[in-house]
Amino acid sequence: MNADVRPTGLRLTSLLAALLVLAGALVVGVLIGPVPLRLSGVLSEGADRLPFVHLSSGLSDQQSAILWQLRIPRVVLAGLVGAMLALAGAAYQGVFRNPLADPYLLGVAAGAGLGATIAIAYGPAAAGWPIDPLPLAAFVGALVGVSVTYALGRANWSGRTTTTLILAGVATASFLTAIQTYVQQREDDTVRQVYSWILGQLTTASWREVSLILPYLIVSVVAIVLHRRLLDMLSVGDEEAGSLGVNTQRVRLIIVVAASLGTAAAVAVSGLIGFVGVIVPHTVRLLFGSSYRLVVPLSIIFGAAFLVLADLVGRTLIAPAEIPIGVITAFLGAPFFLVVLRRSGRLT
Amino acid sequence: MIPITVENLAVSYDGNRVVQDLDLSIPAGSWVALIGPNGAGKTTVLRAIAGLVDFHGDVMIGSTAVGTAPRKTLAQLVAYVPQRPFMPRGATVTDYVLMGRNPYIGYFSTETRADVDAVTEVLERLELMPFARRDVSSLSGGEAQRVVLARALAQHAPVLLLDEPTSDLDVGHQQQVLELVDELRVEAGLTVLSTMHDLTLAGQYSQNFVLLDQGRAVACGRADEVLRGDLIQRYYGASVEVLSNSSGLVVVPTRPSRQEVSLER
Repeated sequence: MNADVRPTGLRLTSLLAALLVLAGALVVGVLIGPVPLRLSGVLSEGADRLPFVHLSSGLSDQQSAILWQLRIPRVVLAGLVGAMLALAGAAYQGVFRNPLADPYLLGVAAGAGLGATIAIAYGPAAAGWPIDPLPLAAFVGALVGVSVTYALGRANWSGRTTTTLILAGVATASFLTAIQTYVQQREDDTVRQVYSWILGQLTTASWREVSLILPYLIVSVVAIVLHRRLLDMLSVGDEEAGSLGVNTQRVRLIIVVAASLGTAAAVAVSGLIGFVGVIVPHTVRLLFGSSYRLVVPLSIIFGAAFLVLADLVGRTLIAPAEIPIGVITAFLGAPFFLVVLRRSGRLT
Repeated sequence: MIPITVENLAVSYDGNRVVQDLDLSIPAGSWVALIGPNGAGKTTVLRAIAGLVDFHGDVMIGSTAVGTAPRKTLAQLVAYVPQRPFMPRGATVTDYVLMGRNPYIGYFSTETRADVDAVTEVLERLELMPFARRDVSSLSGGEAQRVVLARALAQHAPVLLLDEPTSDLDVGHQQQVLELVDELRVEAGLTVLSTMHDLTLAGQYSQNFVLLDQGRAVACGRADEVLRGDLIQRYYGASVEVLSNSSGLVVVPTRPSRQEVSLER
């Protein structure tokens, strides 16, 4: 086999580098906070949890509780949400062949926003329920948003262009946002709560949220990872991909459904954290290459690392107060968006 | 070698008939040129045979019906080279040609050693080895045309559809590409159907011609039966002279005589 004829694939060194960055972000995210924890203490706490290992970590009971009940679940949740949003962004960009597509393109965000607003404005106090209605309402809203977009877009969606679907997404989002704004204005005593949800938040992170979204995320991630080669095939356009034997309509549908499901789950527990889906995949493309065989796995890893670090900044910069994480990502993302726009404008 | 049979083909875009009542019989291993003025429906015929548009009528690749065959089966039988292929930025020539192996790769699988070997063979045959790691978006017109042809050949399909394979090339590259296609046709027993604007080149490489006008076949047959001054005048609205030389017929545009330009003011 000729050495030059080698398909693009994920190199082990790239994978290890990415995992190293993620490990660093996780460690820093766990150690830093209002109550600082020592690395050695955290490591021996972790080892102590392993079967047959008994170590004294030197952490007080209070520190131990902070570590297990606050710090780790929050870092894990940030990582999961970041991984999902970055992956969904990459998937949408591939499916729509548009570098600026983001996971909120098809009405997920607006739907989740409406669901959350209704839950906050009209829902009973969370304490009276066995489960918190807010993430459930946001999740259902997100799925309704995407479904309505499909129903509208499908009528004219011959599979030849994706423009109809994107326009249907714009129409759906505007409509749902209008209702959301109406509800929010009617019930203006909850406006502050709604607002803080929309800006994105991980303040209430616990193991419950983690276990709530994990099944959806696993399904979504597995489905998209399995389609990474076909995402590359879509890059030549529907007609050419079709002539090469790809059922473009089916591939697109599966990927969009998987990405939307995962995004809906992420949004349900974290609110609307913007720009992750644009920043992370593009950074991966710049650093490693644009094949989805690289972009898909590396977006998952770097997305997790990115959001863990963004959350760390959000909760430490003006401590003890918190900057909503959506504000941090938007602050970084908006200029980045422009850079991507300029690059893609030059190239097309 | 596999023949193509088209019976009663009709294609509409948004209610407009762009191809109608078309019958074609393309012998296995031959090269047929589809000619005709702009908008005659040439590209649409190719797209219908490749199964890329909805159509009425019957299109058969050997014994396989295009209308009902699964996408992958079709892609194993028909390779289609569009007039303006999209060259995605960031894809290497190897990755791009490897896309031609998709019909043989399972839905969730990735390429095997056999697929990479098939790509290597095609790259060697088309003298593209030095470009194997180049970004396809950085290639010149002639290089890109060869790379797209390589992707089509990697499909190992017995039928090759070419839409204006020479439209963006200079005369030297036009000859190179057409010679290459003809060599491959003979070597691998390919059945070739191509649309062509350049009637002289078409005359040199194709055995048979189909002249389309407004979606209908208005003439078909050998070069001397179709490349006739009167037909070209009628359907292209062009004034031409058809000459004959050692390599075939030469279609030369002639300028209608006009009054001499006066130099006086």
